[in-house]
Amino acid sequence: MQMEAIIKEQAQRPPLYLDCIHCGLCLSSCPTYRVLGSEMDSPRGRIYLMRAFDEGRAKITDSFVEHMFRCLDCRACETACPSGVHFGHMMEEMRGTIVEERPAPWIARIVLKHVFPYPWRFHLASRMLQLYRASGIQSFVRSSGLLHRLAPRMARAEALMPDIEFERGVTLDTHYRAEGRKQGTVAFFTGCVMNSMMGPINRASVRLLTAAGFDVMVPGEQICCGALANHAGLRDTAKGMARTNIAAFPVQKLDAIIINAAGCGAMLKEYPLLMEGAAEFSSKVKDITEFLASTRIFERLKNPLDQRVGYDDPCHLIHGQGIKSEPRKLLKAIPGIQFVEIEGADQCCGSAGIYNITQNELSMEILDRKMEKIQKAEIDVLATGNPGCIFQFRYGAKKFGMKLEVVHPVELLARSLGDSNEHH
Amino acid sequence: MNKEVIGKLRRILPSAAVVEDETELLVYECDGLPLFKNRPDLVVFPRTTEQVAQVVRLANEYRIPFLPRGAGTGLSGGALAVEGGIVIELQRMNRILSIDIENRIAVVQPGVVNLHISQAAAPYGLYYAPDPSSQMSCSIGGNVAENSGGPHCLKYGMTTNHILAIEMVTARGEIIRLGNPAGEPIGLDLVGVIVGSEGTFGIVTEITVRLLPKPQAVKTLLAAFHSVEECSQTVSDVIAAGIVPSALEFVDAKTIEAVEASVYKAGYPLDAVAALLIEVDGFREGLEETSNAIVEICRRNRAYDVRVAKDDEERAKLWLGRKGAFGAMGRLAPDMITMDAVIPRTRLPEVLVAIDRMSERYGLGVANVFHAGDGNLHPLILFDSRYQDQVEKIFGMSEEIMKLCVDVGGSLSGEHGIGYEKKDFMDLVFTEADLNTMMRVKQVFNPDGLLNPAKIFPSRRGCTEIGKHTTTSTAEIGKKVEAILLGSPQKVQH
Repeated sequence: MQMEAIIKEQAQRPPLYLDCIHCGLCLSSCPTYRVLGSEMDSPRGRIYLMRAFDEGRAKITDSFVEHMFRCLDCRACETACPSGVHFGHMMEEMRGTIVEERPAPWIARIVLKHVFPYPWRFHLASRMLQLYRASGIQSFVRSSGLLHRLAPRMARAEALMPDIEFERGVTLDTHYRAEGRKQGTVAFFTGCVMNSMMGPINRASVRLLTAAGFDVMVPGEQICCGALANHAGLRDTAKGMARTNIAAFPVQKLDAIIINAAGCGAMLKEYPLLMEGAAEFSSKVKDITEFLASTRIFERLKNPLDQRVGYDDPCHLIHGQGIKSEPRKLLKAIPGIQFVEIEGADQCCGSAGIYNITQNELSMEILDRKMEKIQKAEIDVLATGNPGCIFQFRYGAKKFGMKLEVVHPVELLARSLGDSNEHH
Repeated sequence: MNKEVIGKLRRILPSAAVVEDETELLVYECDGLPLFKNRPDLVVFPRTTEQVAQVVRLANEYRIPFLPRGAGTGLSGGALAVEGGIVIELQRMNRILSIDIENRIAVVQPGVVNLHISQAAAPYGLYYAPDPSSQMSCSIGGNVAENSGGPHCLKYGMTTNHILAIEMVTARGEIIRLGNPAGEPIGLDLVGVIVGSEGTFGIVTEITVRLLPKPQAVKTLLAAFHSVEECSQTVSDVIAAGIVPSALEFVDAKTIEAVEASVYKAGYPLDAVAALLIEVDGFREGLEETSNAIVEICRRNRAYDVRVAKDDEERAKLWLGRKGAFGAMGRLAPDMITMDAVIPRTRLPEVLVAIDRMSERYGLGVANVFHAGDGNLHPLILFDSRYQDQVEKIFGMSEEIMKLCVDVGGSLSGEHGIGYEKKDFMDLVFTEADLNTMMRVKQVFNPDGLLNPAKIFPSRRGCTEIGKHTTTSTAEIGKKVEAILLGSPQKVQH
């Protein structure tokens, strides 16, 4: 297990930043460097600052904090790095140190510490969002320009608010039966955002898993994976969440633990970097596309879809988990589909968890560049496997006035399933 | 830095494009050669030629040293702010302004990434030939400054052969245009003087590059050997057979170990002592025969494994491995320096053996990965900069390698430039008269010495405490050169 090896090495080994030989091959892979062209907003520059801090040559100043939190944590630099620098892990630790010394912005802190870890609070917050939208207050607020006058940053965050389908996701503590001959048993990690705001995606996921011949259990004690807290440097909050989740899954009875949100998947796979005793749990975690690509689901993709479909790699899938070919392979297997490769599909869309709220201007510039490339591809549907990215692209489509459906790959796969046998 | 200067800069540029914060300046204290560090006083991010010119004029007004910087991937300290001052960072001038398909030229800004030019030209079947290993990150402006090479320069020539015209801000802040986009230069060929002047003659703000049609066919071979001698002999034999490979690259066992452990894993043979990456391109007709002839030469020199890449995907992999090799050294040691000496091809085996012995004597690891076809060595010396004794050994060993290469009839640098790193070794290859002539040319372009000072030429001692590795002989030459420079009537002291 590679992760275990890293941990063991860490105990005796010199600091991780020594892996960086300052060659700069990471530079043009970095979304913030591509926009800003400044060394301190590049992976190499950030590592340089981390090292300088460790060696007592730099202090945690305002600008130091700014550059560390301006990183999208997309980890494209890891894919570019010939020396295998563990950038994401280093960044999370650095942020942890920063947060110990300086508290995170209060709003993010409250949400991350007091809402995400508690499913019912998250649901409540989501419902309030729904109410806000449904009540018509939203259109009043948007059209009045009130927000823009009062608080430009709040206004931009509000504009990003997704058109959410508040349909029921999968129910906790449920056991879904395999269709046909049973191939095994998997557990489903619902994810907080997915299950509250994007229910249909979770339902489609479970449907595909059962169609592929797997029993699907949904452990009731699971909570948020902790990725957002971890990225924000709230290491202890994230550790607590990891502990709860590991306890919630009967790992030994499972063939796999399935997750359909790339950001959560990367986090679940990296629990061993956060704490001890997580290796077995993490070794079972599979992204839904990673898992499905090794099953007999291909035989079940019968209904043709006559559309031009593009795929955008979520950073935490391609860079965080090294998964690139599986989702493409699945989508291409749908009869009638015209699969279009989008230029720069492996580059970040600027969503990055809550980055589009905390670093709105930069996020929007990154998104604009992305949308131009998507426009060029002339597609009807864009598939991507992470909730943050889905929201970001839906906003981007709206902003650019494009007629573009943004979905999770499993939604297209589920539409193509023959002999429908809906689970509701 | 003078508040008045900062205030005036903020009138030329947006406030955020003038960086004075100490933390932010820290990352600009070195380029791709972190062995030498010195923090600049300011970094500015212009977006237009006019802004560059205004910054330069202001620096002249206040007698502040200044220098251009691209992606900071240079390996000779060319973007090191030796005397502090203002770093003019050109990475926000990164637009491809036009691609003229019929005339096969592209006009680009200096911050454009080398590889992005080829990517933009690809739909038209064209590409930009010089391909330094850092091409996925390095800027074309930096390439122009250093006259960068790359594996394929063996057949296609260095950067200077591909630059048709430039727009440049002079050291005193005038905007001039040199060269002729249509090809043959009118009047003096000054573009050739600027390319390779390492950012000491002017700041290039727009570049017209030549694009080439992609070759009709390409063949890439990988040959593995059990000995360095046999591998080196193959290099000589291929060239002697009259074959003109587009690239002929040498990788040793250490390099293979690092690359094969990385994301750029290329399938290099792990049991080889040395391997060659050989490429031929051109018309489809006859290429197979050339490729077969190379295979035959490899076999004759006891290559135990020779394979020809079967498709573009395999070719790309073989090249990515080669290009990621420098960066992969982080797996073997926390720091390295990349030597850049050039030697006659026939002397390869003995020089490599000598370097190997030095490596043992100094107790510092060395990996070899280089352009064997033109004898451009890149011994990568591995060390850990946290230990002062290793840093001192590095200076000793690099000096010894350079002297060795010069002794066998070679030179100091193939493509990385002299910069700050090798300036005190210039007297190993040039006479006083040679240096004097070069310095006089520099005086024409950089009369006040404010633009990128303390580069290329052995210079005044003590301008920075980091130049500890000078020998007596270079110091003496340095003083003589200094005397010439200071004695010159045009020289204005600052």
